[in-house]
Amino acid sequence: MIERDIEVVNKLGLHARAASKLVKLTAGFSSTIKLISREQEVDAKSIMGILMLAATQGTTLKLTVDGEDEVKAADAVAALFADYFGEGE
Amino acid sequence: MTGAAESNLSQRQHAVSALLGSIPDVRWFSHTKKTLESCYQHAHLFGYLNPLRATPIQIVDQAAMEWIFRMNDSELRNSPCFDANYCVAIIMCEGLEPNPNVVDICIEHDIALLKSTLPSGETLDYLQGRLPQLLSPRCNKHGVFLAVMNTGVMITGVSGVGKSEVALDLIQRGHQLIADDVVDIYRRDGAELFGECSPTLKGYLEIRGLGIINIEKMFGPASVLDNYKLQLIINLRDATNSEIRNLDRLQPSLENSEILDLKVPTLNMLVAPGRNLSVLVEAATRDHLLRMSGVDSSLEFIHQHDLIMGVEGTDELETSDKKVQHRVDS
Repeated sequence: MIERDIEVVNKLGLHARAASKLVKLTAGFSSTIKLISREQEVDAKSIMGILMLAATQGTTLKLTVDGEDEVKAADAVAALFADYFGEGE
Repeated sequence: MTGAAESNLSQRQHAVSALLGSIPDVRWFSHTKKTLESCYQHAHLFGYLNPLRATPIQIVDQAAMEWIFRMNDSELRNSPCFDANYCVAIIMCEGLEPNPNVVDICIEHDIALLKSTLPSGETLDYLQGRLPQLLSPRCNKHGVFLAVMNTGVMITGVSGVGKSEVALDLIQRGHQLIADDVVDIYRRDGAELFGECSPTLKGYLEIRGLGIINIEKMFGPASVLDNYKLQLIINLRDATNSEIRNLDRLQPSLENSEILDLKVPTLNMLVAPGRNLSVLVEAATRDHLLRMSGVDSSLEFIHQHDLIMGVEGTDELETSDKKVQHRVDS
């Protein structure tokens, strides 16, 4: 199991379209992927859960990945966050 | 687990402002970052402002106000009622105005100061009514929560197994949605679990291919409920061939899940092509209701069959609980 802190760096935060991109990415992995923000733990493969976090810019989320492709999955998720969800800011 | 402790802490912090902010006609003079964590064990979380028996949340009425007026600044500062380590909030009732030095002390000591036009007695009643729900132990679970025939049923399973689709079908059949995807569960009176929806997601359902749909608008206000008692969990599982072959065909695959130290009956239901899940969920709910009223369809059938065959109930046909009981007895 991999645990890692990731920061929401993009300007708009984990908004609806960003969440959609994230779900599209995570659904491709077989590992169990979870995001934790304060007391809330949600499945990173479900868009409603991610939207509920309403994580704004600057929020640090805890990412946990457990499964066969956990290394690849954790790297891919971290890369998507670091890439501002492809939004450029 | 430190994670769980932390989570309770921030929930209670949230609860303080949620509780106080919901008092009718309230006005804030100062806010606090404190939580009720440290004082949660105390029997009295709130009461009238009383220097002999200070409580974390204090109500100020006319009599308490007169006491405040009699005290000078340093006496107030050193009073247990304004203790920075202990006191979380002070609520001025009956429309009383806090004097400027009280506001200053509250800001300095990180105490929330509020005023309300409500009579003090009603404010106490209000807190008494709201506090248990707000401070009760909570957790959230991944699943869809519905009221099926007045029974709180949570459908769980891995992402993509078809929980939301079953939920949509059940709503279409007249059952009510409480929460999709993330179910906030809290324990009430130590004995019952209730599930509700996070305010952000209330009334919405995500269906692959349709996006996020507004259930309340699509099916009417009667199709959505705020919260409900959790009575049954149905866990959907993608079936492999060997699992289907090895399935006990006589009895449901029932077990207990533990949520917030309480047991919830959990039915494992295999998902396979050609199985109408919403009908199965309805039937499982009916079966659960029957079982709760003392009728176990599977066992009843087995006993009836045994009678026809003229045999006594054999050990292997009895429920696992009874088997355990047998072992304990012998």
